[in-house]
Amino acid sequence: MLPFARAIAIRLNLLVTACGLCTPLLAEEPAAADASAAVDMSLEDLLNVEITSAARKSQRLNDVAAAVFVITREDIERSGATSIPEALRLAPGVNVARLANNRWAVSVRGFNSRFSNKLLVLMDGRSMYSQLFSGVLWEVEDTLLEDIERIEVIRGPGAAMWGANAVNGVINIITRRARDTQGNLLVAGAGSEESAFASFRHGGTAGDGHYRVWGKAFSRDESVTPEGHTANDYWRAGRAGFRGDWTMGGGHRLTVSGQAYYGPSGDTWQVPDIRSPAGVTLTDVRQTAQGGFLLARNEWTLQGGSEAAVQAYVAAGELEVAGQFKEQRTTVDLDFQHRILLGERHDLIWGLGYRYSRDDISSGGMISIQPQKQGFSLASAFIQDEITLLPDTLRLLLGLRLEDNSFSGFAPLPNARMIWTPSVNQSLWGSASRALRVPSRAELGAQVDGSVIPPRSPINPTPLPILITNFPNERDLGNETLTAYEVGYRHQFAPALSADVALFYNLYDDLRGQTTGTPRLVLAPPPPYILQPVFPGDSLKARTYGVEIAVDWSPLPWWRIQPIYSYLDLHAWSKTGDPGSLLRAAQLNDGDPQHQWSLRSSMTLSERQQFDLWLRHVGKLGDPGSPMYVPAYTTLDLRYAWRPTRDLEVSLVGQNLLDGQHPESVASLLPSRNLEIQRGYYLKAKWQF
Amino acid sequence: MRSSLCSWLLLFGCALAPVTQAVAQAAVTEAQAKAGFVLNFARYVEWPERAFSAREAPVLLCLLGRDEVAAALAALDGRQVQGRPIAIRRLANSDEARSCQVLFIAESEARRLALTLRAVAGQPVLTVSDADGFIDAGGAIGIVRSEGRLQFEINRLALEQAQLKASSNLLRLARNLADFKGRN
Repeated sequence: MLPFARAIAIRLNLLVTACGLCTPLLAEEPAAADASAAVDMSLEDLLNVEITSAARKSQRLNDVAAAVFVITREDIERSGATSIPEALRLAPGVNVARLANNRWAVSVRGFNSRFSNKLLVLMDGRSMYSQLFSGVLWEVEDTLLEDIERIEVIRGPGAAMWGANAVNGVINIITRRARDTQGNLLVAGAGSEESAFASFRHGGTAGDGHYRVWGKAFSRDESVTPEGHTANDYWRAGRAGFRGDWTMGGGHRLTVSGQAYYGPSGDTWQVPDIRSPAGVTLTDVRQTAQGGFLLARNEWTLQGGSEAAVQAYVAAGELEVAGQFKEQRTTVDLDFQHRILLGERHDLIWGLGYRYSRDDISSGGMISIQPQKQGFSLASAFIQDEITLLPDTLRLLLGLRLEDNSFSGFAPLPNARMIWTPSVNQSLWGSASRALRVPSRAELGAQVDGSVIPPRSPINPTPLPILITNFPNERDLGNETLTAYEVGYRHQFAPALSADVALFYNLYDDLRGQTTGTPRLVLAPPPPYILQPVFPGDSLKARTYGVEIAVDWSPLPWWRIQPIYSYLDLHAWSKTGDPGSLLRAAQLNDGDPQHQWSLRSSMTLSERQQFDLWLRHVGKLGDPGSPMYVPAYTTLDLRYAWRPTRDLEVSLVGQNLLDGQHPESVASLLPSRNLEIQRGYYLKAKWQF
Repeated sequence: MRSSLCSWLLLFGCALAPVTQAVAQAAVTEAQAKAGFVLNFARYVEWPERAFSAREAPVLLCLLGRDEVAAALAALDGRQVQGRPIAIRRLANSDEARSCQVLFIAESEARRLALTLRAVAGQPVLTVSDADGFIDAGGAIGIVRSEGRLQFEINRLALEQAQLKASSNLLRLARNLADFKGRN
């Protein structure tokens, strides 16, 4: 439920939330002595002045009472990232593990897996969260990277503002206004892993507004198995979209956007097979995703100066893994939001939302999802008051969201935050909040063959194979809940040096574990086997704490250095002695790196040349011997860009340069093979005309 | 693996070789450049005669909110535009803005944008800000940052309602108008 998230996001989270307090950071700085040099310039000259200001970003963030990191379009461009999940590596506290060339596991503050279900991801106010898996299918959701204005990564629960499933974080992808993307843009490139890619965009005017239309297509190379054999994880995709922004009579601002996509991608599954001596049959599968959405939003200012917005979207998509399942889904979402300033002290926002999602899932093979058709509805109401206790110094934010959904019923989501700004260049904030995750459609209705234990093996001395099958829960499955405490501190030491530190302590309850059922003998159809059922249950608890540090430093006007560090300590345990639950807890304990750091250096060598370096380290997952074990890795990306003219840029990017191949995670949920990511390079040209 | 990495580094090294010296940045901060824009706007916008109380009355440049741009603008005090001196006035709230000729709204005041613009509605006041989405909110000229440079956007409807006339030169250079292409 994300009420006009795009429009409001930065204002709510970065400005509005902030500004009661904010005497901006540099207010006390005297104007530089040579200011006259700038003010005497002509408009034409001013338009050509290169601005370097590392301070700007942190300055806007200084007044936000949450752990927020903003990835700008320039950051994405200079990182060399070619997809949204790769760009998310830029933010602290985010764990991005590439499972294959077409699949990622992305999480914030722990519980990483391909279907990391505690993270809400939105693009321009549209939820990218899959109802089926309760996670984001990063190979399905995408846009033109050049159209992204910024990505706001909000660590910690955002449920009071953004709704259920915003448990560990919210990622808010905001695209540029149509009037900021006028003219034509052509991007094309090729490389070793990025086999070929091309994008085109055209922006123009229409009536009292602007529009853009765009298209992109790419084909990616396969990655490799640990033994170095080529894997079956090809990925091709085509996508087209548009956006238009208009100013209407009466101060109404209308935005309409839409997208259509089609993309096949490959995978190899280890399908459990009771006939096979090894217990699995390697099966190449082809996943096809297609669909689109249409979104409209209207914002206006009411008499009296309060602001309102209404947004609606329809999304329809089809996801098919040939021979396994095919999901067709249509979602309708409606949101309203109203912001009122009451006197000098209260900044009040309230809103209402409704979503209805209907699916039709046919399944076969190792997966069976029942019932075939199901609807999901979600109604919500929220209110948040930002109270200025001491002008420019102390603010209190109180928020409450009430949600009612057809899977798990009614739930209140409260949140309290406080921010203290003792001086213009530092701030200290703290929060306490509650969030929850709603069970997914698959958890409630999917029967999936998990694995086969072959006969006469160490753990199965019987003459019959054991088939472990995940069944849907026989009773109602509840929400996973989180109670979270956070504190953060930001300091702008100098115009070119700032630091941001956040600490958190999270307590989870009713996390998804397993209950082991009674085994039974299945004789028909032959061959006979022992069926061991397991059911999902809310049998796990967990505690996490950690710290995230981000520093932004420009030692020289043309050189910027951004180190980040994240520490996470996750401990999960089972409330029962059930072996399935104990196993699941062990998997959670081994699923995330304890340490992660990265160092970015961005050099603007001249008006025509840029040189960027990005060194990353991700700590080990689990210990050697654990099925989840992945060794620590350190890798390096380099980018060199040259602009022969102002409108043409040619860049050469090298990725994962420190080794030939390395694993980043192990497969979970779906029985994909473990694959490794290879060194890659690509050459890209970007032309604006 | 190692040799492959070395050849990579070598490749990048070669690419960098022609760069003899890193570019020396002109010593203009973002705030100073924004102040320069505001001064130019004051030069290229025509106010109705009734906007001024007397023939020699100054152009009143009012500042709402405090940040480094407002500080840089304060340095404009006493400069001449259109045969009049500029007088700087710092405002405590938007109610005092009706008598201004130019009103600069610092980003720190963005949360009260709607109220502020309402306070000067219909008055010959040129509103300028670097707040995100300023012209969408009904402001006249917004200063925006793109590709490491500053640009500006003009809301012609807002200028019209304020009875202000912008020169064709100003309109021509606005990013959202005329023949602007690419650069984004």
